[in-house]
Amino acid sequence: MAHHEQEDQCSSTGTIAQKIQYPLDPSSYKILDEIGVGVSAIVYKAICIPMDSTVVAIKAIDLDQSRTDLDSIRRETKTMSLLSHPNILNAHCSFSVDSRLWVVMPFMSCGSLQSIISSCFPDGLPEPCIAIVLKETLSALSYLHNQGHLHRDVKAGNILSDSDGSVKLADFGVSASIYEPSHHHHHGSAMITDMAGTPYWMAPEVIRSHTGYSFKADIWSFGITALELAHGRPPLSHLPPEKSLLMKMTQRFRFSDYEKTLKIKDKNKKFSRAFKDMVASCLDQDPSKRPSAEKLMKHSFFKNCNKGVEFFVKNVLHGLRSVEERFKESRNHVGAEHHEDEEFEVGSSPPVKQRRISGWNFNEEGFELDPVFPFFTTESRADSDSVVKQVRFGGETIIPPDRIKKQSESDTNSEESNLGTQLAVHHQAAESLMALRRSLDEERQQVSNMIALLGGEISREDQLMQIVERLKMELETERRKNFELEMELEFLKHQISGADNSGGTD
Amino acid sequence: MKGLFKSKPRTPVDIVRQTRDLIIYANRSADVRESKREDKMAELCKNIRELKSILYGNSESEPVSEACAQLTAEFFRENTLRLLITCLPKLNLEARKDATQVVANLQRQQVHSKLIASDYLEANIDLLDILIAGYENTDMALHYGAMLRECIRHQSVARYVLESQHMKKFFDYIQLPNFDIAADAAATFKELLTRHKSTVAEFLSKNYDWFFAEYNSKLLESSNYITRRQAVKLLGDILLDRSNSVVMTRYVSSRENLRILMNLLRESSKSIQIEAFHVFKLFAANQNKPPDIVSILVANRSKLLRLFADFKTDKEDEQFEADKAQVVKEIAGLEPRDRP
Repeated sequence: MAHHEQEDQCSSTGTIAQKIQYPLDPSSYKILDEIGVGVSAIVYKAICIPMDSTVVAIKAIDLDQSRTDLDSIRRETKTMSLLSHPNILNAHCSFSVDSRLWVVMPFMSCGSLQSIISSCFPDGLPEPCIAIVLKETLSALSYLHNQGHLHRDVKAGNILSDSDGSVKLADFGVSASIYEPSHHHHHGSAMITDMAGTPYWMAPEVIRSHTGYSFKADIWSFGITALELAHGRPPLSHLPPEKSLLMKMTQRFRFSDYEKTLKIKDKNKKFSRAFKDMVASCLDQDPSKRPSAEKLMKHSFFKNCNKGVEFFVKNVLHGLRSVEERFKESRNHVGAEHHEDEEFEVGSSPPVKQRRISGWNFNEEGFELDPVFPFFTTESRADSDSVVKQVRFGGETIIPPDRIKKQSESDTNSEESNLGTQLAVHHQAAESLMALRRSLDEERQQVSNMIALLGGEISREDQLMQIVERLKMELETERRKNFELEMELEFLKHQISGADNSGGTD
Repeated sequence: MKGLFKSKPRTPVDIVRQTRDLIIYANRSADVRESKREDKMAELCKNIRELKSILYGNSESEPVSEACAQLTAEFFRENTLRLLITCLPKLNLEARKDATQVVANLQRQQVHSKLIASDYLEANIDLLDILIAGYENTDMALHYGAMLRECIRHQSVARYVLESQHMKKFFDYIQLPNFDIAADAAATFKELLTRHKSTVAEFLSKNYDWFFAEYNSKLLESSNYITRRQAVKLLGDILLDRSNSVVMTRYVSSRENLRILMNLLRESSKSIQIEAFHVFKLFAANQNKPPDIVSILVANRSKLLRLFADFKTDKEDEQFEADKAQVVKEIAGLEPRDRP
């Protein structure tokens, strides 16, 4: 399919289509309705009056927000205007209106797949429809990657569909180009080693981040998106982001609850072997083992997807309420699902920064992701380097201290209504710290066992001495980290008792 | 069958030569059959893509420096760059993007540890005129703009652009209604005024009067928010650069400049305010303030101090706080001059 398209492009060289120029002034547009809102942007449904009142979507980005720097916005709109593919949402034009930038785009009347599943298919879409959506999305990804672009935020919220069944990948707010030279030297601008994307969909190497990442991170997010379409939400997303991060740390102790709820739900759903296999290949821990977009197109899951878009229109899009109605409804659900209306979010990185899982294991049978916690890796013990790497996060705080401070301040400032939940957060934090400490103790025990073991060996003594030295140093680091954690635990206990007291005076 | 006639793989030099021949063919008037022409154009696009994959590598392989050097040497041996630039409007979108990336990459390729692209451009400096004029053509602007920014990495080329009449046009390009093009022009303008320190300092000293008159009236006092914001940020970058200290001293001694900066400090936009502060602080910190600057600061002292009292960045910024404290101290300590 990709080949076919490329040939088309080449053969159409004789006729160079001039892009239709949309008017560059706000008075040519009439705003009809709000259809999406993000941290620094609002998306409207509008008509372009001089163009036969063509319906368009206008994304109005607030440029005066500190989170948005002009360079990254320039990159986004430039990317959008230079891409040309049937599965990629283009911009008709963009121009500034006071301190806002208006990006005029085609209007996709059915909205995002995320909004479709959350309002009509809470338990996920039927598999043939998933196949259609994913195939179209993959075609866009393949084109993007061929162009040297990473999307970096693939998720159902960024896949839009129109009533005719067309599917387009949107939102290049965080996309990056490997051909853009400024990425490598510019300070502050979106480097490829920067964190970007939305937590649940992020690939492990993006979370770990220090090595940088590439096209294969988009493939991971594509796999997560497949799960999202299949289950109605991404893995672990039933937890609010703050909480889910703590849970990801500590779930070892309570993960069973989560699995139970999943299994009950999944009983009614049967997915094909091909689908499971396709997702599993995307969710390989090792980026180099994940297929490229082009290769993935040839997977039997997509090859055998012979249902046309009509099937998708009939089974999913038909009778759908309008995107503006659904948007209004989702707005009324205050805080129901945290990610509800973030599909148009423009800001670069998500507010959540502390993600500390060492990875995910895709459970192909359960068709879900199981988190892997760095403290409990039992394999690769012998490889001391990898042990060090996986344990490295000890020194870093799990809850940013300033947030704790803020919370405790607001506690004492008698925000009684919030006290309960904040206390819960504190308790949870304390609990997770306890767990961490326990695991550190375990870790230390194992290291000392190893030292003892190695010490007993007489032959190859020099070699072993070196190892012992290294392990001792590691132990020292661990001790220091442990100490830091203990300090923090003390601090948190203090906070909690403070909060308890102020709650008691109520 | 195919295997029997398998020709030996084309070298980078072959591909460059063939590309050149195909461009010459494409540039000829359309006296040939349309279908044949289309075939040739398709072949040209394919060749340009091949050049790109030699220079950047592809999913299977990293670029090979020997191949890159051969390609570059052949490319600049004859006038392939000129041909490619002039033929760009005839190509389709994908080929235009590929060509842009090829041209960008070639500016950094060394042959015998020499940047031969620089020599070529010096001898063909009129190509820059074509690239700059691209900002007036909606379809070409982003491609020519990207090429232009790569070409001005060479100091001699940047000097040519700075000293040319084109420099004046940038003040209009930056304010084009089409955001993509305006932003691209702004990025090029910034590059011209920040990359080659000594050249920039020389340019600004020689052209101080007209340049800052335009800068103030067209950019800092523009009605366009983005223009003001980018301009005040760039002004800070220019004036705070040590190599421009002479220009800076001159700038902060002007009463008119101070007036403009004080107006920017009063903007409702936080981003503009903060950037304006970074320029304003230079007026305050100047130890040889001319009397009219002092009198303006004294006359507005209470207003300024009130403004700074609740002037904060979103994120905690120690440097900013220290600068602010310094500015407040300076202003508070000013002695009013006797006035007639």
